[in-house]
Amino acid sequence: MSDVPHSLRIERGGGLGGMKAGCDLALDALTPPQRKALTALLQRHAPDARSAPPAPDRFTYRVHVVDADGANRTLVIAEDDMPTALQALVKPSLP
Amino acid sequence: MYQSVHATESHAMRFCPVCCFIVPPGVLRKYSRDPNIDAATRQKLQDTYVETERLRGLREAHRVASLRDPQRFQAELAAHVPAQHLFDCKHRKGLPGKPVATPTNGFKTTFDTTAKVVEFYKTVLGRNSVDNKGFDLVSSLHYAKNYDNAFWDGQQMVYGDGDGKLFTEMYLSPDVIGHELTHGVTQNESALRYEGESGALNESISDVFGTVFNQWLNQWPVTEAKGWLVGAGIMAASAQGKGFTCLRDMVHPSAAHCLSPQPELYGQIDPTADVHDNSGVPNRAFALFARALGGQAWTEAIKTWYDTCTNRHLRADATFKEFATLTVASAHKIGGAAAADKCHGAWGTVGVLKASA
Repeated sequence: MSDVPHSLRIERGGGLGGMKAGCDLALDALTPPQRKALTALLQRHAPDARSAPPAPDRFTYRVHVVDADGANRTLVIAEDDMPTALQALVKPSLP
Repeated sequence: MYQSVHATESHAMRFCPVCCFIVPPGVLRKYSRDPNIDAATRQKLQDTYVETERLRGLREAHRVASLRDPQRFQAELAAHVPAQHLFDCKHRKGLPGKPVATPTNGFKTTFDTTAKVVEFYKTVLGRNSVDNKGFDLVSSLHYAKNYDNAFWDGQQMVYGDGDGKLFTEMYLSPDVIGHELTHGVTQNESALRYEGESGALNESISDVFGTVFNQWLNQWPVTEAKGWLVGAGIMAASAQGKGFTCLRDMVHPSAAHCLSPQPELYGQIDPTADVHDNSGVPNRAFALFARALGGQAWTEAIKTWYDTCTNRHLRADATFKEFATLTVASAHKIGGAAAADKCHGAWGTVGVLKASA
């Protein structure tokens, strides 16, 4: 499993509205700050574990990563633990 | 002296949890038998002695009961009036933000609406703030930049300004303020776990009390369709232009005018889905029950749900079926067999309980 993802999918759920938002991205589509934030996120959080317990009306992010070697992993990230640079990526998918 | 100890039971329980008596009972008893005192006075002393002993028994009963259920008995004694504290996050994420001394504009709107939620809980349900002990209420506005959300963080309410396209300022919808404050009530009562069916119930309870608060505020009957919309006041121009009039509609959870449509029947839900998806089923059950009762939802229907949420039978990991069964019992307690039938019927319609024969 590599620390450098090949591609990723970010999904946002929860919030007062409960509206789903998401995006599929190739690594080269990320800006340098977004790449840096993603790398730090992957190093900081273990796969398949929540970064914090679910809380009323907070957003929850699921980050699905496909590594260069084809391995998959999913991080479940609480709103406060999700870098702002990555939060913004899902917004274009909203109505 | 006689008057001072001749308190009613409710008065003694409310104002004298630890009853102290100036004249010791032994002295009263001794002089009530003193032949040197006239008969009328001895009778009064005897009556006082008996009353003193009765109050002593009440005190002991109160002590035992308060040990068994301390929260409820503390609530009985609560007199603190909740104060409000407003903060400005100035579009940053630090909480609570900078204190706001004189509320104007959005802060005044938030202050006034929050005060109304407190009044709703007090006058309709007899509850003193989120903890029933007068918990002071903290609201932070202008959280983060273009933040399209509002939440209860376990201690306070937080409101974003929306992105201006899909959502406008979150405090503009009274039901949203009622929704968030109700998360605080749930936290202090059943503490429903925020995942799975219990999480969907947690969300539904906030929608139910938020919308009924809005109905009470506007004096809308159960037949008023607007009264069952969640978040109608936070839809911005872009959302409205696309035909979205609300986040959720408790009568028609799957309707196209909902920005966040939900399944309407228990058989349609995905147990692993977000709690906001599955809350539509209990939301609809409440709306159907309230409409079956008729009139105004705050006169009986909401008291039924409130009884279920606060009577200590609701488990933190309750399922829809468990919650439904408890509401039917509460409906019977409050409105008798006819109300219980209507409640059971509502849960039957959404597929949580078997339809009545």
